[in-house]
Amino acid sequence: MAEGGPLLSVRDLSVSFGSGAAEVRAVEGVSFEIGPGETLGLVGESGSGKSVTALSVPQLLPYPHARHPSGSIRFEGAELVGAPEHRLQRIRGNRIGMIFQEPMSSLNPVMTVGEQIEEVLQAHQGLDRPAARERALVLLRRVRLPEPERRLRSYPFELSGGQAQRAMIAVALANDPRLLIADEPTTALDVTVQAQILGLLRELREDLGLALMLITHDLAIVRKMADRVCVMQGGRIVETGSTAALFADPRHPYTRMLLAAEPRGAPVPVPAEAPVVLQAEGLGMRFPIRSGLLRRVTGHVQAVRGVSLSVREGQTVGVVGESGSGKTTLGRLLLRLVDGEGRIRFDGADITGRPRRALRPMRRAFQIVFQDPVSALSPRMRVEEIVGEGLRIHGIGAPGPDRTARIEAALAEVGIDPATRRRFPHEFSGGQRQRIAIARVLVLKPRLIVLDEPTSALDRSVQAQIVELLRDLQARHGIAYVFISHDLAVVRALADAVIVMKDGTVVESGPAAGLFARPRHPYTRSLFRAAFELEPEPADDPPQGGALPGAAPGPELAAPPQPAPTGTEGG
Amino acid sequence: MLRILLFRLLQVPVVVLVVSFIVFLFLTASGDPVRLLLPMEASDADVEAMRRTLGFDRPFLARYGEFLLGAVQGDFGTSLRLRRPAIDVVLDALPATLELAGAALLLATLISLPLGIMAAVRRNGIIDWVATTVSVLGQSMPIFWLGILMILLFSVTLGWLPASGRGHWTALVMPAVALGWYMNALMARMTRTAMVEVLGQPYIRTARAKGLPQRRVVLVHAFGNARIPILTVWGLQAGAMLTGTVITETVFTWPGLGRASIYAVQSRDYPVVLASIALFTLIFLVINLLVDLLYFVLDPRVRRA
Amino acid sequence: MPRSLRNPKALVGIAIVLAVLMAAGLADVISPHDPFRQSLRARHVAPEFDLAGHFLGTDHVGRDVLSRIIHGARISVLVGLAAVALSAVLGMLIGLVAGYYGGFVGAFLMRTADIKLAMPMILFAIAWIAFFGGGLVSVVIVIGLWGWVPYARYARSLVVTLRESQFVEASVAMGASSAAIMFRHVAPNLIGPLAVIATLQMGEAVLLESALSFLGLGVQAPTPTWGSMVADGRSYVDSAWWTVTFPGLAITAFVMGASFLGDTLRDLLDPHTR
Repeated sequence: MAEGGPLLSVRDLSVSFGSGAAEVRAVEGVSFEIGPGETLGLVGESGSGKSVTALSVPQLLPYPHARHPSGSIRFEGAELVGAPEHRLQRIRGNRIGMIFQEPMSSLNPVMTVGEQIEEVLQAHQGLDRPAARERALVLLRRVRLPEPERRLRSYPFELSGGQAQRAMIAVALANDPRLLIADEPTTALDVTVQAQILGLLRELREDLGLALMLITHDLAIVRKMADRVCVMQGGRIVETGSTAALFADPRHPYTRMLLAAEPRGAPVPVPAEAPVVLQAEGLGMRFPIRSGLLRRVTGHVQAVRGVSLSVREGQTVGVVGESGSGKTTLGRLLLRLVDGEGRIRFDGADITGRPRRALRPMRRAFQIVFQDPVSALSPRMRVEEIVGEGLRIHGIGAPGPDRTARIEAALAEVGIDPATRRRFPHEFSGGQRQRIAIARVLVLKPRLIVLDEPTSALDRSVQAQIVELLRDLQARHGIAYVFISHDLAVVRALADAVIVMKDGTVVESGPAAGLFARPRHPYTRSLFRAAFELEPEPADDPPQGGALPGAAPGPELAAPPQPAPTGTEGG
Repeated sequence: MLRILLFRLLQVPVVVLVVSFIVFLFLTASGDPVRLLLPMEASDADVEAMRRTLGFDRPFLARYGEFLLGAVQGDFGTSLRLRRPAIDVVLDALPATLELAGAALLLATLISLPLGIMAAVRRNGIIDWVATTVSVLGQSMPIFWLGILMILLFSVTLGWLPASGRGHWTALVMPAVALGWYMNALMARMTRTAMVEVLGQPYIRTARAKGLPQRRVVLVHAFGNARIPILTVWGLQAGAMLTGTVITETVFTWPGLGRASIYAVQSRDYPVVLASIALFTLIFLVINLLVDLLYFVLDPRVRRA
Repeated sequence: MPRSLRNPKALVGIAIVLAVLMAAGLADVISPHDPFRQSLRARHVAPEFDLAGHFLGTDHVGRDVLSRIIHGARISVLVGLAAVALSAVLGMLIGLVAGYYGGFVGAFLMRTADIKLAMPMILFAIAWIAFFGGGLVSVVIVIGLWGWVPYARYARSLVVTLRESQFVEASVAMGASSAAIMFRHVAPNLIGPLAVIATLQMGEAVLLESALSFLGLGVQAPTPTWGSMVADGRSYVDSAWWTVTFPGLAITAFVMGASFLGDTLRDLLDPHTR
């Protein structure tokens, strides 16, 4: 091993998939180094080649379909490219640990957590069963999994996402590796859980002297975690440097674009006399729990309980909450896509008891846009059919040139070239598909749109564009929005009133400016802290100090309280 | 889980009831078996007498009820052809069928699992090509044709193996291979599909990232998951495998349940038809029950739900 | 040309199925001999490399094997198409109803499918044909009733998936009626995959028809069918191997061709491999 040299040295690495005419170059001439104990952030948007680069290091790409036309990867002085499988096996899981984006599907569903940790110990250290079990228990304690004895015997499906990621970290660290490769380790997790996992990683890194290769699309995470950063675009590293220098003075236009991509701006003010479009009172929704041999209803889960809100013309009400908070169910309740408790008035008319058939003609005025632009557009319909569907349903415009004109106008308004209207959805990028989904509702000239996580599946730079588009459309048409999201930065950029939901109820609500500046409820505060902790300080940090009693500045998340907070992560 | 098992158990009598009713209806609707049993020149009085002894003069539902009452006690009546209790006729044939099906299943499993697994691991390799070819041919070649060709080669030309009968182990070889060849085709294909699916899962990448040997990744991590869908399809194919058994028994004149039931159908020996259908149905329900129990063993999500 | 059409499997599948369809359609024109004409002097003539003679030999009553195979294609094609059409329509209806209504009706129908799969259907087939006679119609009904489950399962799972899918929810939110959703979203997604299942099931139906014919329960003599030809030749296999070998080969080829064609169709319809 080269004393004092870099732990990992990647030189001129390229990766190709396929061969001949079908060859796709995913990574091109990438070089970087990681020193012992150092953290390198590899940043880029989807398709930038960052994950492929990460998987190249332990040679986990699908060879021989994947090839390295050029390059060398030296780890602890030894070449990994083209190394024999048995030597790579001794390094993987032993000197190099890895964790992935989807903790739940990264664990084997039919093996217990204990077995999955023990096997990596047995494979590399030759421990016997009891010794491995003992060590596994130590590891689970180390990653702060609550009730470690019980968790050893748990299967992955019995864990929450955060718990599963802790278990994955235990697997990765079992043999005291020198390098941990973390590929989007928190992307699939709720914001408070994300903060806890990042805190844990930082703590472990310090304690174990671990080098960390952190792959992420999220600049805020890199800023908080990394010593040095490589920015990737189209398979190349376009800029590299120390974190502080790079954030202070980004050189490459792409880096600047990424940095500027954080959703910005403020919501358009709403005149006080703007009419109320939607008013809902005491909305609730219960799902029965069945148990026992006869599947009798033994109780109910209250997905939503007693939620009231009103939206005025041109106003955006943000609905914020983590997964399982009931925010999505609320969106469906508001549009009567599901029926529950409470009263809903739309433009002054009570639509609560109206039969569904009678509701249909009214639906053109209140619309919904979903999170996933892939499944929201029928794969077998052309764009013009998708956008024209509402026109046909409501008999708007004469079939033929008139409708085509409306469809083209709607597409143009959302920034899609109307000439592409005869294509199918899969020919468009994620952001473009979301624009098409917006055009589909826009063509009906709705009064209200429920936006259910419309930006969550998109890259950050695309998110910013969609937020711009939404704000623009609102200003032009005075549409009211109910904006449902877990992403506080996006909500802050768009909403002028916010309700915060947890376990189906509203814990706090009010005008956005006041709420973001002075969250009152402890849950809101912990949520905001977790979300904005990663932002460049002090910028938008609300005066967490003296202003409110009990709002003592939270301890740095590097040291989370001993038993991981339940409720957000509890199994 | 308990609920599913209980449900399956309750399903058994229901299915047997439904199946027997339909068959009973068939038999009644298709005409009078008495005429067929008696010689052409029998007088109307003879027919009437025969009918009364067999109970055909009473209403349909009464006869069905009586049949059921007897059936639950194992009494399906007396075989019209063999003059023995129908239940004895089918139970005597059962061991031969179990022997044939068991041997074929064993053969098919021993070949199809390794073949399917290796084909999935080395996709587009030589073994994959072999596996695909074997399964395409196995599913395209009629069993009866394969059986006759085997008889032509191994019995007629080479004289190595007996062409029919049961007793010596050599008599089992060809029927078991013919039936096993067909089962193997189905199973190798399922195994390959399930393994390809599982090998693409993130937890396989995790297993490789842990530095585990390839053998452990494939056999423990991949097959440990793939065997669940394999089991599902296997259970669903049970019906197709029965078809194969009936035809194989006919080709090799194997004295099993399939051949007995075909004889019974051809000679309108309705008590034996009913008894064999009831027995077949029971066998398949037992197989399904076993599959459910295996889920319980193999899948923690079922076990702990 | 789409990539999925450019592989040998696709070409072989299309060629075989086309050849069989042509044989069925033009049997009277292309058969070298009358398939029914017996000749006591020409019994068990071995295959001869002479197209004017008996290219594939003759059977135990001196009928030309090749001509009988060509005419036998008619029964295979007819039974295959009709039975598959019957199961497809039946299965689709059952699946749609089960998926649309869900709840008790859906559970009941899908339970029926489970039970049907567990039942020894060959005995039903045998019983039905033995009692009601083995005409063409009986064979089609039996095989048609046999094969509805895959269609029903697919149709049901599609309806369930689509009902949960966001583009259907978006249509509902736009005020679309159930009928419109059926027509706009369910039907287009249903037709292609059902065609694939039908093509793949075609082979299964042909195999079943041949098995029934072999057991003497199919279309009755003297109409030539591939299965009954194998059954007839069985007793003379030691002296006239060709009477068994060639009809069996015809069954194998047609079943294989149908399954290749089904795989090709599936690849063609999958938007990801297109």
